[in-house]
Amino acid sequence: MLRVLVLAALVAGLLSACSGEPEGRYDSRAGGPYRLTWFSDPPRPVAGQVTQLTSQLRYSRTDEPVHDLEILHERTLHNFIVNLDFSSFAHIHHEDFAPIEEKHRRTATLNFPYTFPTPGRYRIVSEFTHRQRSWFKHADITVGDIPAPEPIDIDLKRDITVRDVSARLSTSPAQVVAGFETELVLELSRAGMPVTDLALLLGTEVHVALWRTDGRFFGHTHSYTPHMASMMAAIREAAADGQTRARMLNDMMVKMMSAPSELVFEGPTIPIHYVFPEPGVYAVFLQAAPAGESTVFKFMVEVDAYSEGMDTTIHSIINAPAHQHSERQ
Amino acid sequence: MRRTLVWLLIGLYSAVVPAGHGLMTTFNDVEPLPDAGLTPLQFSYRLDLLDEQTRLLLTPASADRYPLAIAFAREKLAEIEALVVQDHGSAAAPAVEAYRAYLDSAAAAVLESPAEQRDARAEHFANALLEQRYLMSTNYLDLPSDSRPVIGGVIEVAVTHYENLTAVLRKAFKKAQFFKEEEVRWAWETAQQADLQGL
Repeated sequence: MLRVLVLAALVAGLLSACSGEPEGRYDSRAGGPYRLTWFSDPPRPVAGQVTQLTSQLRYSRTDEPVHDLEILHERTLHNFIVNLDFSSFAHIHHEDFAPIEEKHRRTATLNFPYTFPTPGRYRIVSEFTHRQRSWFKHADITVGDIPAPEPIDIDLKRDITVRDVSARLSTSPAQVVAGFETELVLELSRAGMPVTDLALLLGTEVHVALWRTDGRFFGHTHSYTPHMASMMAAIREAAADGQTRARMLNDMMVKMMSAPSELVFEGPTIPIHYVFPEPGVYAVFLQAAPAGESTVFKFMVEVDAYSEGMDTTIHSIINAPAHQHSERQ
Repeated sequence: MRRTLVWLLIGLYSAVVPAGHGLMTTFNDVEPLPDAGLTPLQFSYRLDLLDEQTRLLLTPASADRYPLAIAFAREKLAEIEALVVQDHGSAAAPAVEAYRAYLDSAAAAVLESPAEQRDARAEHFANALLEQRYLMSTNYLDLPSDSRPVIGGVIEVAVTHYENLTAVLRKAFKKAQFFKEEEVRWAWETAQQADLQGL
């Protein structure tokens, strides 16, 4: 009997080794001080049916749970779930459904229900703040049987309508250049009239999540306020050397992190500053709350490589000193 | 109580990753370092080094030697980090020296590249150096404070190579590196602040 049990255990072990990760478990990419693992229930998520997603955050070195996460923008773990064909997007948190209790903190385990809208390959990017630093982890989840990936539909239109709200995205410079600061402006209207009833959404007027369409270069950013603009201008004016700028940037980040949430832009425009790191087409999801209702606007932005002579000047809608990289040598 | 005070101090004085503010997000999905494998604490480490150096010597074409040198350099970083994690930072000297030698080899391979490939390879090398500095800087806070000072020397090696490389980088490429360089400097500044605060 014992021999049969040992054999069964060996076979089970071999099968497990052959199949890689257990079904329903998704490890974030290795590296760094933290390891984030996701579990799905059911283990094979089905499109259109609720899946319970559970995350566990542990220290890479000790495998102990990270139980003292900090809250940033009103949430502990921000999760961005995107179909890698960029046809669907969600920004979702444990606290959207239930309060975080002691047992969640102690075990660093958070969960929420999510319904994957269609079969496909999904990426879940999670952002957390620990010891005053923010980190990103990502894992991929396959939903249903998916055919071979098709080319992504690139749609560079600048005007879209979601429910009764029309959105226009403009950029300065008009030709977006990798490695240079870009001002994106989201302008909202309703029935031809400017939207002026924007509400704060998790501590800001807009959450922007973006990926290059190959799934790389995730970014998460927010509105760019006159206060931030003046702080950045002060850094540029005061510090010619990189080391001093780095130090001043430190101070600025601490100030920004500790500043209370404040509604600066009631509409119709929200400026955002972003540096697209590499050329390519990026899928950009902007989540705002006109009349207090969370609404996601999706755009695509083409980013070019810089070549000599390109105009990278920003003509900002923010009333702060004009700047771009004239100081670059 | 002391722990609370320490974290309060971090909150007041230390840096934070500028997540959510859009200007520095280049390295969010940077490729992590490989497994360390052997470290200088192990008897056969010298043999391992010899094997790597021989493979580099026997790879005549710069096209093949460059990626090999970069891969070995990343492995040395992983070894150094593994030693620091085990509180053996003082034993890292052979790995640091090898790291320096592999970067020298990569730099030479860039310069020996055919003219039509040189720009692309120099740009790859520039990004590789920034990524390596970023990785070592962001992991720094998680490393034992007594053992981690060796990381500063490693970063200096990469900084020197980057500065030397700027002479051959295309002007347009160099201009577009501005925010990446800022992000890397900022990441290291964060690490140095931790040392200043005794964290």
